[in-house]
Amino acid sequence: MFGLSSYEIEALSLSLKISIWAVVSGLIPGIAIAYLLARKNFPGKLLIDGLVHIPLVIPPVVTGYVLLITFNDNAPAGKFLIDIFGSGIAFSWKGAVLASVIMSFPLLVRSVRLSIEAVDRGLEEASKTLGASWFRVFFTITLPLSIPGIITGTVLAFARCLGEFGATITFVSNIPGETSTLPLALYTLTQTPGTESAAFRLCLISIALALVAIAGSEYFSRKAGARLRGDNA
Amino acid sequence: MLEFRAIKEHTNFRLDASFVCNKGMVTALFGKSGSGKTSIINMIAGLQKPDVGRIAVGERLLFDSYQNINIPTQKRNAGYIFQDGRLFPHMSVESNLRYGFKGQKNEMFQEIIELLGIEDLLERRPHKLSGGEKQRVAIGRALLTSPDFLLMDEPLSALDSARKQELIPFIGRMVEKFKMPVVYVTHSLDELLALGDNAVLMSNGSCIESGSVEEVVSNPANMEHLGLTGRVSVLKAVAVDQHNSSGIISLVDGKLMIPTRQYKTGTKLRVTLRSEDVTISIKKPEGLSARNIIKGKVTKMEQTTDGAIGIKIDIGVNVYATITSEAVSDLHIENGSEVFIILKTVALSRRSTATIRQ
Repeated sequence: MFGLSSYEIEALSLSLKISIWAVVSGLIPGIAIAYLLARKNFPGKLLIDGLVHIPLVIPPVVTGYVLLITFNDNAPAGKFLIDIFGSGIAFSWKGAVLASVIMSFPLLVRSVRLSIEAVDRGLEEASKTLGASWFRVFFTITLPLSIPGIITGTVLAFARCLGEFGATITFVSNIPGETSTLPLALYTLTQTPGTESAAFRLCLISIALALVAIAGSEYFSRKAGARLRGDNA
Repeated sequence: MLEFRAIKEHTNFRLDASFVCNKGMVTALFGKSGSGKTSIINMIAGLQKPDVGRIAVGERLLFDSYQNINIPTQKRNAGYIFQDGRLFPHMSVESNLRYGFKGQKNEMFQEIIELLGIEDLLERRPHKLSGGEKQRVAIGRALLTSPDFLLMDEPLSALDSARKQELIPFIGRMVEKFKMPVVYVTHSLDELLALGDNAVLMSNGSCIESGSVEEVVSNPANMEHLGLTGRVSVLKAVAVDQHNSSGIISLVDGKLMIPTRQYKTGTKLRVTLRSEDVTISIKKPEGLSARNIIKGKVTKMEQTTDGAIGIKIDIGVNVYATITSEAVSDLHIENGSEVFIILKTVALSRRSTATIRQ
């Protein structure tokens, strides 16, 4: 395919698999936390806000290292996972998913939170006066009106997952076919003499993926925005 | 019946109000912005919580701080019509209308959309509606939940005066038809006169006065709060046939019978008489073109701020007149004097009438 070697295809599909898993598993908790931060006041709100955003400001290697000491097969949490699921997540693609979720979470939460905050609370009040339960208010008013932000957040998070490097390589290492995602494979190529053209191709693939993701996000979030405003786009 | 009594402390504002609103009656909360009107209906709807108080509709307690009862908004069965409509922008008009629709029968749905004249708007999105259409849809949406009471927060204030005149009859018809307590927040005297049965005058978070619209608006003490520059008398009136009544205004059961072609015979009207337009005579005048002369008794006289004399005359209902102090001494008018008041029929029916809901 497009003259790509099996090594490159493997890296690309692994990257897509890990990023999709990360975005899918992060979406619901992300929306839930964004809603809590946007709409509720509770003790410890600042702490949760801080914890969500930490991966954005500390070196990714630190995040990866913390994950490694928490989830390695001999740590209590790692052992717990082995007991429940039969296998741990360190040095496996599942670990890479976890690292991606954590690294992309702040971008997702931030974007969703902003769009929930922008939803007119007056509409939520109106919905309540019409007899709607909290559940119905959320699913018929708050959530649909936040869709543009959710799309943007999802795509940003997806792009962040595709580019994830530091936490991943620290936590799950660089194992071809298991954890060697695009950036990791590219890194390996740059360290190997005589692979410049392969490295260049992976570079182009990364750029293309990112562009498609951003353009797609723009398109869908505009379309969703127009739908919400009622323009027949 | 809707009963409201509540106190709520804010940092620089204290709301302390109570009133009662009967079934099929419109109680208008009237006051300047910031006087606490909207807070009150938000408390009735459960969107705000009083510090202390009791709110009940009929037998049903919605809030009672002593018994620790606070029914959540969605269970209060309120019909709330917001100032800005608050239609859901991502839904069609029909989805908006059906959002809280509890009746299983489609006849009710049909009936209400016909009453409000919104049959042709169902497919549209709210942003494609005019201001008046939006408010009619908002009214329909609230009515379709079969509410126990209606709360209207300045529903006409975002509209221009032509749209207002267009919407007032809709609201009137609706109140007449659905016979529930209606609390109507407004700062417009026109709306108060056109739609209110009772008025609660609000200022700085407290009720200054409450009573029938006629009483509250006619009371000279309320002039400033109502934004009136002179004294007025607001009287109940009924349109009568011009020919049968030979064009003469009469007073029957405390209501002025007004011969007019402008309104159908039997239409309930409310007449606002400016006190400067009322002429007083101590003898029954003859040979006047004004044919409406009503006998009454002076019950109160007082100096107005600009030096004239404000006179309250009981003709079966209270009417206010303002005349100069020279005229008072020339005519020897004093408390208890028998006088005749002269009203010009034409003047009355042309400029001072407002239809109240029929």
